[in-house]
Amino acid sequence: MLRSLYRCALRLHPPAFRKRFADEMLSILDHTKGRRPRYRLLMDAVLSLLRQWTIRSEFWNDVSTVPSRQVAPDGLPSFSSLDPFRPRASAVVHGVVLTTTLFLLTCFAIRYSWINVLHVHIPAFEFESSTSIHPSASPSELRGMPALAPAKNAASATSPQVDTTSAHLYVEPLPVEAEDTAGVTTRSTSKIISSSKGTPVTVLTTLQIRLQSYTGTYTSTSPRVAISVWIRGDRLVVEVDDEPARPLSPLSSTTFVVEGSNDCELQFASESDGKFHRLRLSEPARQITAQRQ
Amino acid sequence: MEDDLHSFFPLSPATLHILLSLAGQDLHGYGIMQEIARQSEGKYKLGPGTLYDNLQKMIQREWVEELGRRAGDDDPRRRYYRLSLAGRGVLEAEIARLAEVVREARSRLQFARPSIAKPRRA
Repeated sequence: MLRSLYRCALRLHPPAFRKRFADEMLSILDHTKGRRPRYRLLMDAVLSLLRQWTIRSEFWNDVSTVPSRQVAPDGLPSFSSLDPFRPRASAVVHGVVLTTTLFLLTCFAIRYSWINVLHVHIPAFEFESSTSIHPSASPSELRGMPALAPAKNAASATSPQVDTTSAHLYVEPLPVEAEDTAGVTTRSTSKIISSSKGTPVTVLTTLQIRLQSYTGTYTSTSPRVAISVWIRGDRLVVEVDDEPARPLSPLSSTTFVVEGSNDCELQFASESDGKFHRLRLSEPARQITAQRQ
Repeated sequence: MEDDLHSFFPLSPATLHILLSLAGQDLHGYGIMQEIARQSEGKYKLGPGTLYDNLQKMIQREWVEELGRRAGDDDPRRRYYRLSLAGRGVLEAEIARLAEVVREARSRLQFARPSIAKPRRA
């Protein structure tokens, strides 16, 4: 209790005095034995408090009494902190200006570095809305599509595609879930194709498709069917068991119509690692779900 | 310099005793208090508030140097103090002044005769 009161009295001293002498004064209290001497020290601290705040104003912010260095017993100087040091306001302003200038110069220099990081484009899915791409576009064409500003895209869409990215900077496009893809799917025109029954089917002509992600062999155990999807020329082709291969026309990024069939549709799902892992073949009479092998 | 020093004389008892206690050896604050009590045979007791108030002034006047903490001390919170050359000069000047006072006082006491007041006749 007495020690707490003594510490309170010390804390109320001016900061310079407190930082410099409070620990030592508390040390003296701790080494003093007896109740009466300790009370005398408390009264002394109260008197010191009054003295420091009334007639010692010259020491309130004085840092000269704070030791600037400490000498170790062997005479070697030990480390000291810069705690009492306060830089001039002008020095702080100069520091801020210098730091800001260096930061801006660094940002400016990055634009001209050999890596040219800010100009690296990730070509995946960067299609201009007005550009019409045939659904049977080859994977190499889809990958090589550079990301250009809309104004430039109109011209670039009609000119041969140039792969502006370095080979070592190429980023494999990550698969996108079908629901998300639907939101960003761009369609400029659509055409109507007819199935063998003559049923009109709307086929999107501009789709964000990655043909390689569909290809492979999918098998079903019940019924036991093997469905193969591969690329022939610039188009996807499906072959169910020993039936003749038929080309696919995309309805969306995951749904395709089997051309020349009786309203047969292929729906791909469970895409990961750039590949679809499941498909469902919907025919008028049956539905087959197959897993990628 | 000499004129500046004379502006501090006479030293207060607390200042004089602190300088005296540090004249022999480097001491920490508690040691200074104990040394003063020993020198004055317990008649003059200095509290920590008065001690450090005076030390604060003497450090600023560069009469006393702070040596910092010493490894191996009982209490790591203790800082040691040393009398500087300037402080030693002040102490010597004050002792000389006090010696002059004592000499003057002794001479006056030696030749002074107590005057016996004679009763006035009516």
